[in-house]
Amino acid sequence: MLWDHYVFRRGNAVHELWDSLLKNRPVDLLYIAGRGFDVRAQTVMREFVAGQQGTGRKTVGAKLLLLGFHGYELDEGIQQLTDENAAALEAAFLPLGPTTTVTVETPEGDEEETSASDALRQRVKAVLDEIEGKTDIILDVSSLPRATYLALLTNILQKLVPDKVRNEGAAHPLHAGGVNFQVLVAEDAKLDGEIRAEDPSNDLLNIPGFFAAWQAESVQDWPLVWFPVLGEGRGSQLQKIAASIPTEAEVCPVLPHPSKDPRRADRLLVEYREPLFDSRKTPTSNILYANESHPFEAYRQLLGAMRRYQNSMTILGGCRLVMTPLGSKLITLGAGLACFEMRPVGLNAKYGVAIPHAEPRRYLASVASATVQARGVGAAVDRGGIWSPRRRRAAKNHCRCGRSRCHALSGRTPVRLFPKATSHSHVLFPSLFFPGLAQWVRLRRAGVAKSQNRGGHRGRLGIAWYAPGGNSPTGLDLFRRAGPRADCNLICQAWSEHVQRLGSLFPNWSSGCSPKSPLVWACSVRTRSVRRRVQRTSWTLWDWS
Amino acid sequence: MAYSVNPFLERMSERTTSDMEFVRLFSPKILERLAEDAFDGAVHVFRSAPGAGKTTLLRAFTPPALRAFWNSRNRPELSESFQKLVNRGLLTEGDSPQLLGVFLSCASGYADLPSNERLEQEGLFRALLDCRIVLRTLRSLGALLGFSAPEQLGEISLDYGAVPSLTGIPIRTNASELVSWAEEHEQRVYAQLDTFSGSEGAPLPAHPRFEGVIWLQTIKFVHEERVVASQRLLMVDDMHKLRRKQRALLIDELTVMRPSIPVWLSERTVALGTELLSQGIREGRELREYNLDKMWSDAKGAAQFTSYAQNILDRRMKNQDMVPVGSFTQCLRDKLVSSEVRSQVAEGIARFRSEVERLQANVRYEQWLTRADQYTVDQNLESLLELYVTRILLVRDESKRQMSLDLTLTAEELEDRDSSQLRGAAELFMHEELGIPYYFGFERLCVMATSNVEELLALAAALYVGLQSKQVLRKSEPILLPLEQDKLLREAAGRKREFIPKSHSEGTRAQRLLDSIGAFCYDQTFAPNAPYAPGVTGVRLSRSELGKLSAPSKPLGTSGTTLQRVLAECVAENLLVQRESQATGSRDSGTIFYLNRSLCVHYGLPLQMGGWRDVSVGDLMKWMERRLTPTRKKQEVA
Repeated sequence: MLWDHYVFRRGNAVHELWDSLLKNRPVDLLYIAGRGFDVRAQTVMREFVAGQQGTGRKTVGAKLLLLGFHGYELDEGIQQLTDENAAALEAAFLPLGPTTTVTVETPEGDEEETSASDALRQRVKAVLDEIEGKTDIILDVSSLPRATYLALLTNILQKLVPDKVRNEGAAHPLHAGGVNFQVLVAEDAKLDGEIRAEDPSNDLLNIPGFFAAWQAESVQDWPLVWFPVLGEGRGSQLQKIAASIPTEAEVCPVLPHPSKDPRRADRLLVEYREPLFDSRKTPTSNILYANESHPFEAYRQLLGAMRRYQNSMTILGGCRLVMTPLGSKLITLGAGLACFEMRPVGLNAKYGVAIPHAEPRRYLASVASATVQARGVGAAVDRGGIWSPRRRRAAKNHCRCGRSRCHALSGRTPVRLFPKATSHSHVLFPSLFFPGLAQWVRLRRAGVAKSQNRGGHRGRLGIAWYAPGGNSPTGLDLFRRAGPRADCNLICQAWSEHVQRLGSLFPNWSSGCSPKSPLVWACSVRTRSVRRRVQRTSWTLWDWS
Repeated sequence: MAYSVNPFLERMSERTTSDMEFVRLFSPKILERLAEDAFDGAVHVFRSAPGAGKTTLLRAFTPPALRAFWNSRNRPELSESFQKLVNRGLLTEGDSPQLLGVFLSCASGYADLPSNERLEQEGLFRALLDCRIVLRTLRSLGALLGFSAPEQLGEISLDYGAVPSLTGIPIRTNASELVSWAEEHEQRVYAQLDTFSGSEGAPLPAHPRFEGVIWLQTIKFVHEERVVASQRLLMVDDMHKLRRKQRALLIDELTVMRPSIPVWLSERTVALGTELLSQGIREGRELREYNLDKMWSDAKGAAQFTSYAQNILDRRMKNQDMVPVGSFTQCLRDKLVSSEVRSQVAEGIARFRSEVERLQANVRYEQWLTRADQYTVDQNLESLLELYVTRILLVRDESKRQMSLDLTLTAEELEDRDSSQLRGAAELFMHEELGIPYYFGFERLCVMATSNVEELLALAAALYVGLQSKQVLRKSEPILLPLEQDKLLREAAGRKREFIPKSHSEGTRAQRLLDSIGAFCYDQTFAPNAPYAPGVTGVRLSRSELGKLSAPSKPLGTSGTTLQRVLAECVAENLLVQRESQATGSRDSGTIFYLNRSLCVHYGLPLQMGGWRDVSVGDLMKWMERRLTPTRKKQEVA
């Protein structure tokens, strides 16, 4: 795994990272952004430019590459916002350097038309031609269409990291000759869900570098595994792509879970019920869960799944792995990283990776919602990590996962974020049941569970409460009494695996099973005594945003 | 755990799980409509809206499907398909299939090739198509001969005796070697395209002509010292995915080549673009065009579509076990029983009485009203229908401007003025005002499908959901009542309308335009005197109006161009059905755009084609930008 160790920052931590990364060395910068209507890009750029103008920073060269787009139908208000946004971005970057706008025309009428894929290839080539000699490359995906930033992310990485194999004694592939590559994201899944994409193009668009697995005749007989990463309001795009997916393909829907909204995954399952489950025999055990706001978790989940399928299907002569990222930006970035790493090298690979996309021609968003600054602004991807600014309420101490609000680990006074979460219809997750032991063993092996070994694994490890009946206004809470050295990441990972195992054993849980279902009652009966004991102790809650 | 699948939603006919399921679901009725010369050596172009069955038809002639038909020849439910293929000379009783059908799709990236210099681009397009023809031919040959592993292709040798010299395709006497060449050739092209090497790397291949077709029609395949697969058929699907110039190049060069084998090209009508609106068929000895939509639209075709549809739906119904019924048509009751709508009938009669109250004193209508009184006694659907017919005729007579003697109208005169169209209008009025079901029955279901298999399956899927619900609720018999069918079909029609902006590139404008046409037709249909009985379901643009749209000088500006594009897409996607209208003494010729029949259900319009009204291009442009709303409010149904 290339990003075995990653860096992911949010909020104020991003500025600290920029300080450590950019201070006291000459920086030749290429800043890539989109000429779009998303004003969150301005916030991100202003923060960066302000920092770069500070003491100790030395900019020897800087260029802003604004990618323009044609052929989209936008309301007058949104079009005006696009123009204003572009002017604001240029003005914000002016202290550092000039701006170049790159536009690929798609002529209509009797002239030779350019397909969307070809236009995207030309756009990517125009950006790749600018990379030479740069020390720092920043890709701001806030106002770029999904296909464009995926193409740029994967192809810039391909240019910087042509060889993904780690050789003994040589530098890590991600060293990339000392070039820093960051991705900035102003992420707000709710706002992203409010931007509707309509009128999907009749022709599918393919990400450059991932054509062969989708189009080559020589691989058409290979079995296909499809990973649709689901997001709100993308049903039409999914339908366009699904029409090209063979009926016998293995389908593994990817749901954003955990998520700020604990019901989000359920709603997506309902929204996509017909194209994924009614029309195809997709078993619910195929569902994958990826953290909505942690791209590296998504990357690990997807990479692991892709590798498992690739290994299993080698015996069949080969396979095609098709990714369709329709979710939020951070999950999409994770998917892009996984696809980049899985991209085959050489002509003889017995598998292929494809990223087809149905580009919408019309975006509908209210100007009011588009201009609201998202509270979680700016995320950046370094070639070695992902950086993400976050809300200002973050605590100062950090645990190794970078979550600034891991109060238990920091030893701070617990904050009850959900004071109303006192419903007694919760279901205790299997951390208390059979997988709890595996989790404890994992922590023991990681050397972090030793200090906690009081009273066994129950009550010490992650216990997740999930309210199937919707009685609790908050839904999902996670609390633990582990010591300060416990690794939050491992908890997250183990918890995600519990979720998957539970989903396969009890298929109905994820769709909000009735409080009267056997699962709930069994859990309630078994854990009533534990629950009473837990309620008497002080416990900590934090949100997973 | 898998969800139980709706058998009508599965798109099994294109890429099925198994060929056996494909042949089981394949309805052979479409073979009856295939032209006699469809297997002659020439270029044959098949066109239709999406979902009409083009790919299904092509797939039926691929080796795996033909072998599956041949293997199932003794099974009663598949003997009909086998027999029809035997009649066409494509299969024989004694020998395994000999027709080598080579199926290729153009949705595999030809349009994404770099738009370089034109000659380079054309050369690369030909090179890629050629190596794919070779690859797919050899793999299909393996399937035809029943090979289980790709390595067995080494048993086939290639005889180049009749093949003219080719520059792009190398001479390899072993099929396996040629397959390897084709695979490497293609992968090298993609590897170069993926690395953005452009002109710095090795030049991309370029062929001066489509050598793949020449190779296919002349090469001999020898297996175990026997020549095999002497009959060939090249099928190229999804031609609409090519760029305009690529498509024109392919059709032109193939036509000029005069292939000795049949070459079938299949595309959606959207490929014609705005030419669709002024379509002229280019046909000749070497190029033959078939429109699958129009195949079912004439009188004979409509009747055949009903039996074709029944065949398809029954086969799908047998593919499920949740609803224990053998035939789909058995599940749909097509007769409305008066007892089910007793309250609506009573309300209708009461309304009639109150409306004709003011005419009681009029001597002219005395006999008509006396006749109507008799019908008010028997409170059933037939008498209600008579009352509505009477009401419409009364309104018509009242609105006549010409002076007439105030003579009493006789009952015979009423019967003379009665007609099937008038009864159709009366039925629709009953539905609109009283909520009496109108959209039910298998025949009407077939009409609603607008001769499109995919639409038929979508509607059937909605009805199947109703059957499933009945099964879950343990209802006594799995039969949908007319009221239930009406509700389900109207909901399905509503969903189709909602989905338009999500599935078409000009979807938002198209939806506005269709809504406006629907509102316009609604106002015309539900005029109290039903002037265009049974109703208006389309609009017409005269030749002069169409001329404004297609004039090179673009007199209507960008709006006109947009309207042309939207209309073309609506016609291509079967949202509007295009028909020509002939000139008469009082009017110019023109083109009628009828609403899709499912959309007629959504707008509450009749299903018969026939009624239309003239509009101008200016009207359509206004409606496209701003939705027209009906001026007559829809009657609230209690």
